[in-house]
Amino acid sequence: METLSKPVRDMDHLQDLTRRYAECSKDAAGIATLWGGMLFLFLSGMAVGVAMAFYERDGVSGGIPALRYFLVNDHALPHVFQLFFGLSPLVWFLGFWLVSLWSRGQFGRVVAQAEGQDEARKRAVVLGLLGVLTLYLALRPVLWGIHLERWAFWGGIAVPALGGLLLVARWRDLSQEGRSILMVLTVTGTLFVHAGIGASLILLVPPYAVLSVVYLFRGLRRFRNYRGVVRELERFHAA
Amino acid sequence: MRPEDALPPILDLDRLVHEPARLTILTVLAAAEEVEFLYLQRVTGLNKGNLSSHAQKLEAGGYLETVKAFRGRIPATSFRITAAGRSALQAYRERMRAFFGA
Repeated sequence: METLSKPVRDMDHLQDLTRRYAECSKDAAGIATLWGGMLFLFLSGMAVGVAMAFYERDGVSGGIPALRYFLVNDHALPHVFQLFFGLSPLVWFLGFWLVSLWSRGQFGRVVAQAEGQDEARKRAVVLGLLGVLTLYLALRPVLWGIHLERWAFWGGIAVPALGGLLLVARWRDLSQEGRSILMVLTVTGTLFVHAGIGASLILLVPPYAVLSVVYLFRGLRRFRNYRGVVRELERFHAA
Repeated sequence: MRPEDALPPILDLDRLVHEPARLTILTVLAAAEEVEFLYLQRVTGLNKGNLSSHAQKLEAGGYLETVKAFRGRIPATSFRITAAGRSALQAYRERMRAFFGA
């Protein structure tokens, strides 16, 4: 009976492998998480470069004046940098989409079983927050009598709306890390486009650097798990 | 159990599920919400024609449904197990377990 019960055990094993594959193939097998880590690293570097350029241009002396300069400086970033930060969610998503095409071409796409109530609630909260942010930014000039350039106004609405749409479109293919990368880039991108931040953008460097390390580490771990499951699946097939 | 006593449960097995390739397909589908054609092909080792043929039989039996989409510009077919397919697989497993004492 030991050998006759093997098919049933094989079925359990195959189901377990499929569930694990569905989980670790998210974020394009972790490569999109790695890509997110690299993007945060690049944005950190760019933030330091831009902030230092402001600092040198304005000829601020060191010590307290320098600290004050970085904390309260509110000269808007040049449009090109605002645009880059504003487009950063889209840049990440395009990378994710391209790598997804590759990873799906390797072993195919498996969508994990229907999400539980917690997951559905989490999605509703994330989308609700982006919706409220978009609405607030649309009403902000009216509520507070703030004058905004037309592109900053519309850009400030477009970035969170686009980020929300991308999240909804690929929610099931993104892991917790992928969703948070998209969310953080969307929120900071919105701030840059709508509010315009100058030298104080250097304050973003520490959290961006931490996120970068976290995403690089988790992306590598997910990719390693993915490779492990694929090898097991190949062995299963060969057996 | 005498062999002649074991025959009726074996003869009652759902033939649509009992075939090894279709059993593998249903087993995989039961573990996920949606599975792409390529994954099933890699796991079962079937060629495209055979896999399509088995999937069509399962679809005709109401055990799975086909989802057509695009991966970039390339058409990508995925499958989902239906409620009927899930209960047929469950019934098959229970019968096998009972028979083999697994």
